[in-house]
Amino acid sequence: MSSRRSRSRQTGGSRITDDQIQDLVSKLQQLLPELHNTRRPDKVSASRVLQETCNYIKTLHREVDGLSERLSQLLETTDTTQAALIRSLLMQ
Amino acid sequence: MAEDEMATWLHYPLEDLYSDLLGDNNNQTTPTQLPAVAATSVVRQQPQEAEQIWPPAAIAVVVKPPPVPPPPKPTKNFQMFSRMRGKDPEASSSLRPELTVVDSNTTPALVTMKSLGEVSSAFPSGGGIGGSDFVLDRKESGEVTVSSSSGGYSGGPSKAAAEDARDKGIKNEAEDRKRKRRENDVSLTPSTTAIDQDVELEGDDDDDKKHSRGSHGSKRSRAAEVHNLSERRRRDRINEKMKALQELIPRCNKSDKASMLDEAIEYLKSLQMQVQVLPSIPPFDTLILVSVKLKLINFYQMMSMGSGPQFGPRFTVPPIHMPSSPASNFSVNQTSIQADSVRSSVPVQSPGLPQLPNVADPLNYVFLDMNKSVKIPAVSSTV
Repeated sequence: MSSRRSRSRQTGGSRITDDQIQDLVSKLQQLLPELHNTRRPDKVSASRVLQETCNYIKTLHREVDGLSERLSQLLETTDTTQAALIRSLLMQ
Repeated sequence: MAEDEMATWLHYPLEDLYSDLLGDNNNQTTPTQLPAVAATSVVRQQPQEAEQIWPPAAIAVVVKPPPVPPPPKPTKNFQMFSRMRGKDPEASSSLRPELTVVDSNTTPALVTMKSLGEVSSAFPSGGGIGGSDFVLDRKESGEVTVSSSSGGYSGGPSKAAAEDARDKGIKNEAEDRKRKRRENDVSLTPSTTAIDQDVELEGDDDDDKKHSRGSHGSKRSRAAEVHNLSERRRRDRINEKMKALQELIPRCNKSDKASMLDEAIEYLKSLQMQVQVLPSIPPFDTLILVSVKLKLINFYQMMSMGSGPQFGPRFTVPPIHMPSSPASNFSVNQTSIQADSVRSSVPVQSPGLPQLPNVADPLNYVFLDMNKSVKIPAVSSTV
């Protein structure tokens, strides 16, 4: 019983952060296109949200990599002054 | 106890008895408690229509034949029994008096049926679902006790759930331990839901509590233990994902979950913005447009140089559906570019050119083409 009490106290003490975390997880969930259109958005588990977040971040990384590679290719193939201009614009 | 009474519950309709359980099974809830007779319950999912046979004929149990003839449905249980039956199956089949298909919920596991003489036999019960250990006791007086414990039903779904989890690659020790305990436990109540159904952080808690409340009071502590275990397992999983997330976010050395999640949200937003904005950065767009234009101009220059005589005079709209607006645009740029273009009149790779007639706007076409394929053909001309 003592373990039980300590457990309940523990959860009671961390109630606020649990709520906060749940809030954050739901915020995170809204950013995920995979989970955006689920039937019951409140029934998606936290671990699923985190997993999807990881996947999505990886996808975005790939996308950004591809785009920047394309951009650098473009910059290579164009005039140096123009490229410098674009670079300066991009660096802003 | 009258034999007729026995027959009433023994011949309970199978479907009625199991419909509740099956419904529960679908909902991933666990059944109610079994009578505490039990024994080591073997977890095995078996066909629900099971047939249980009587004690062997060799022991010469004399019982009145049942009012209802047993439907001949050989099942696994039948096989199990066959080894306990007498040496002469013919005799036993002729004597097979009762078909017991009983629900483990409603049946005491041990029933004593007094028939002729000293013979009292207990009908195996509930084997239809659980299938289980059968204890065959033969006493000197000729008493035959076949007791069956059927704690297996509840083990059924839990094992299925465990296998499910294993399929998903989630296989950890806690799960196994939990499953084992559940197998040994006759009343298995809560937190089957926690295994498969992913529930939200607190919703999980509440669910389990609900289940455990419905269970027997004496089992509450065990239920809490199981719940604790599943809860810990869930937290482990979440922490694992958290760690993975942390590795994906650069410069994230936050230790607590809340700021980790905050960081993840911000990072995700920034990445989304990047991906959204990067292709539409004005210089980026114009860059593509410029290169496309250069390419097209080169093409037209090439045509005008005589390598494409079939197109006629330069910059006039060829017989293909070439709109005049791009052509006029090119003519504006033409003068400044001409020298370079002539210098670099080496045929520019434009594999899409033969398809140009199918496209209304060649500029758009090439633009799309370039958007699709990352590779930009080298435009050697400089402005």
